[in-house]
Amino acid sequence: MVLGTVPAEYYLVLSAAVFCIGVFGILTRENALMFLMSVELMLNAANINLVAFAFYWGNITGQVFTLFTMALAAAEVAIGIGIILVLYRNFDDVDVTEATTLRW
Amino acid sequence: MAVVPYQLLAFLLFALVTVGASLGVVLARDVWHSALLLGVALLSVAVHYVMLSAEFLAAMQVLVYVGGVLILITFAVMLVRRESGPETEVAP
Repeated sequence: MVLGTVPAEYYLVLSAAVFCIGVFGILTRENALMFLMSVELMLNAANINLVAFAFYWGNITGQVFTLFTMALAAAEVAIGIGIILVLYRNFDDVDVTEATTLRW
Repeated sequence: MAVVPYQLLAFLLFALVTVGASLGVVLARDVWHSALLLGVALLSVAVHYVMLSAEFLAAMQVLVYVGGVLILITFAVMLVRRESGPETEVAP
């Protein structure tokens, strides 16, 4: 099969790299929007992993799980946007280090 | 005649695009640039899906992520963004 020329490990390395970039983004940025985008990157890394395994094992289950993850990501972004807009209205900024009302 | 590994070359090219755009997302100063680079990263992930013979998932990736999630993020950036740079703060 011609498609088998890319080893499965390459996709795993790509997925790990994108996931690590997402973790790095969450740990280093203070903008709430950057949090949201980094979470999207991490979810996409997990999706790459699932689809790669589904392809190399000849099993469709990974693709079905990826569909679930996509729906979850869309819902999560909708909720996150609402939270960020309320954050902006209350604190006049989207810096997550500014919102300390629930801390004491 | 040497066999050219087109699959491998395409994978490496788009893996480079994915990782580069993802790095751009987390390293860009401007949030709007980050949102645009996130679109590039999501589209290149769709290309990976096509190479893994998951065409339906690639279509869903473009529709849901680039068509829905990225539009929502753009919406939030437009509503929330203030001009970057500490000296451009406008006095109330």
